[in-house]
Amino acid sequence: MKKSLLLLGCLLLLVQAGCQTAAPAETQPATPAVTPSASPTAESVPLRVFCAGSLILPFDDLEKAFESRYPHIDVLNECHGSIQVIRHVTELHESIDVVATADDALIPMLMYTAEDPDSGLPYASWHIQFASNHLALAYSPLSQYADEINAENWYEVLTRPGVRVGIADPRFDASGYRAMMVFFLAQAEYGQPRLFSQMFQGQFSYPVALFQDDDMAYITIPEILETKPGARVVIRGASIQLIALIQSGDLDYAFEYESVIQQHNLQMVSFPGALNLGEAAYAEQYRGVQVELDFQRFATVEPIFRGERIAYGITIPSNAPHPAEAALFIAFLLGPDGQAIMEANMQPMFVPALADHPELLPPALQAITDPLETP
Amino acid sequence: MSKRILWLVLALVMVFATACEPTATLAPTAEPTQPPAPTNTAVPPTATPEPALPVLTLVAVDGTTMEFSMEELQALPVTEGYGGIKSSTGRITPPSLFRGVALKDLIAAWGVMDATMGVSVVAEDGYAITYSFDQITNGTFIAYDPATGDELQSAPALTAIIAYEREGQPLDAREDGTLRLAIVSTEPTQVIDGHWAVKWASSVELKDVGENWMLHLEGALIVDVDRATFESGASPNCHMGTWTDDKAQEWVGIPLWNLVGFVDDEIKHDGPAYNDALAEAGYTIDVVAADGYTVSLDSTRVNRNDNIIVALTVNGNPLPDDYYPLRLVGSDLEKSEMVGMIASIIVHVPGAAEGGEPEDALEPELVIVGNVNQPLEFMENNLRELEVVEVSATHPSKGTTDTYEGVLFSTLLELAGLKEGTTSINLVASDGYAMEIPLADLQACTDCLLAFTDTPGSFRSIMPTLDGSTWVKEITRIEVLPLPEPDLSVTGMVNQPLALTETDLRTMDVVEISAIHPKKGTTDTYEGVLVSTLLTLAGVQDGATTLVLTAGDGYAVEIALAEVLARADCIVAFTDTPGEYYLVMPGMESSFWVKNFVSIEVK
Repeated sequence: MKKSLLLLGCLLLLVQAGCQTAAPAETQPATPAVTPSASPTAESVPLRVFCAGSLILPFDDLEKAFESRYPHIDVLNECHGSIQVIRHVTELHESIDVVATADDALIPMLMYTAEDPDSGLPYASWHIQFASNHLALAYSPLSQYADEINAENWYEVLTRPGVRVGIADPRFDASGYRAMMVFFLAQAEYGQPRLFSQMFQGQFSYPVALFQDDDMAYITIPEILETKPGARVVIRGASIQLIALIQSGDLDYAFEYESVIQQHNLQMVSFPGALNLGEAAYAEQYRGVQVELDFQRFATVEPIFRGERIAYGITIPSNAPHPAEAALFIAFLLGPDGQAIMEANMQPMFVPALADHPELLPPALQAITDPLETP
Repeated sequence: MSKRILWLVLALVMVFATACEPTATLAPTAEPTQPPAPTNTAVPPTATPEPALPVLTLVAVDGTTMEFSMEELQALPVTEGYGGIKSSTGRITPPSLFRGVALKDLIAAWGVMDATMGVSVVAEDGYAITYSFDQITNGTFIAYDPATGDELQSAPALTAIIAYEREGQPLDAREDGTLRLAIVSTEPTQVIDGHWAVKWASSVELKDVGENWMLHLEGALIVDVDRATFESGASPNCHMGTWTDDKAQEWVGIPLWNLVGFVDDEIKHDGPAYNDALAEAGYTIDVVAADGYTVSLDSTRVNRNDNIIVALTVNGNPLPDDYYPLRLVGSDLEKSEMVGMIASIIVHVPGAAEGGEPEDALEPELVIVGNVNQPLEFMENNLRELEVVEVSATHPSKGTTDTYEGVLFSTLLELAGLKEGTTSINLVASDGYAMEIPLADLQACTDCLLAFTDTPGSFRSIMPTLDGSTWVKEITRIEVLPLPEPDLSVTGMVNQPLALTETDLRTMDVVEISAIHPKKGTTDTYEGVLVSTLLTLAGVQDGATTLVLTAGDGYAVEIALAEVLARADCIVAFTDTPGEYYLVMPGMESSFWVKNFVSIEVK
């Protein structure tokens, strides 16, 4: 049972922030997302770093700082949804040096179990949890009731007539189903047993359903998720797409990660620890809810996402062309410089970072990580 | 093998059916690529020595499949246009020119798709995305400006296609696969979310997202209750029962005793459907799950007990998978008795040991069918459980004023739920007499009533503001009719292709002519629309020289355009059969007089 729960937990974060485009949907050419700040020289080592969408800005800064420290290495950042990041390795068989996902559970799920056909080795055999995040509510001065909303009344404001609330599509983006988890968790937190249905009932052509058993709540996402005309809920494929709508005033509120809200200088309602999915102390509470897709989206991945504390993961694929430089990059990320950059981007770090199989890590990383204790 | 041939024939029919239509192409407008060959010249696949490998599998709702080779796919109507994507991290892949088959055209091969269905496009590795009816038919995707990435407030018309060419070349097998999904428009002015653009597409699956199920009731009678009937029975106006659990979740369904009443004796609907005496005497009710798990209850416990219900929804939503579609719940049950996934209810009344008689004697007294979300069946007592009103009305021809009791048509139609495209309502009497009434007229008549009569189970329409002909007696059937399919087309080298119904034609300039049949020598009078009127309306393009005149059975004959234009009295004549026409060509040989005339193609 424990194993299956763990598996469910692994599945939870399948579609992390920015992992909205899962292969084989359209992908980008393998070109750097950000132009390297230092001109690569003929001798420079190209280091391909694939990261989750919510890491775009911090990894942009990280690239510049790292290249400044190590001018012989040319970091080539490319960001996708987390599943897509991994599929570039495991299915497109691209040579990638560093993989960083917004859901650490994806790495064992998709990389430990897939073998590199050239070497016969798994694509990865270890990973490091290095960062977390909190879910929160973004808004702007243009938002209705912007001068009233706060951490105590947000759920009541969101259900007022005419208020438009943005949520990422839970079929593609973890922040979408996490937002729905927040509404369930809020029911208990605020003693409002109808909160979920007040928010979502009647909003979709095919309903999003919440059902509570004795020890678990199940949120079911239909195969077709279309809002009805005039619905207060606005769905977009990725949470980042909601930012522009908030800024333009087309949307009043949106569920986003705190780091992303702050990076875009939006106003924010922070949720209490019991709701924001970022506090270790509430991990058991988070695990009381799971989101299920009412259909099979991936051939090999069961579409069940269990409530978990948000954790970002990083690893070096076994076929990385430049593993030494990759380890250097991760060490830089986990070290004081990287921590400062992440902090400047409001991205909370795990200090020390946690490794699931410390004995398999490159020696340089073993020294700066602690073992990850699995529940 | 035969199924494959059947689908090939379907594909060919589509080709021929569309070959004379204006191209479905979203014409490319931007350089630098060489424009692809004209798209309205698709030819049916030709026989090849070796069977071509299938590249796409179509899966119908019932699971039947059809495989298409690339050649067969390319023989279908072509759509092309520009499509690009915006990734989840905001990066833009600018629009490219794609060429392929519109999903809606592909699905047309099945002939059916409605708003209860979705379409899944599945990639080779099993990744799948399901598109809604609205997305497939109306292109309702959120689009972005390819230059800025900003969401477009007004997106251009978008079409989802299964693409096999990009910029005039076959797709890159490594990058896109043999086939991929693209959302295209006529101009390179939009991109859509990347997750819709499935690459390496290998199958297209039509899905019914409003799944049906049956509840088997067995006692003195055997009755299979379908989902729609159960939902109707669980409505507030019928037998709705509710229970709120300790999580404040509201379960809604039908009290078990009401369902038992369907089959506990031979009275299913009328009068005292539930037999109190039998229940008090005692029998066992088995509630059986799909896996065979059974809960047995004594009739004295269930007897008119509204606290034991067969629930259909919880918090307004279908039950979760563990319980779907029905679960026994209620405050008078132990948790262990709350069996889910109910498939049948067996009522062990005396004499029902070997199962009841199949119940087919009690036909519904009124049905509502056609273009509705939920077909309905009623006995009079069911109707009387709806909102019954009294209307005082004066018969338009008799002049007598009476008070009638019944159910408003607006109530009935709301209950059935009209689908989009409904244009009229047909009231059908027991003797087959039918009266079609425009929906708008019926909706404008707020007190039009389906009235009860002195004869139980016999109903009539009371239509206070409408013509006397709409006052129909002994109504047994209300048919909700959609917009009729066009049955005459003018296509080809015209500015405005036409697809016309008889109603459309009758709103045009209708003329009468007398003509002598060239073979029979008889002179008859014909009423219809001049061919020249149709050609003028369509706008014949310069360079056109020929008309292809086609009948419904495939018969086709060509004639010089000038020859037709030279005759002012060529007419598409109405016939006694609605929607069927006779092409009357005075002064021309009989081969040009086309019966069951369906189309003009201008070449």
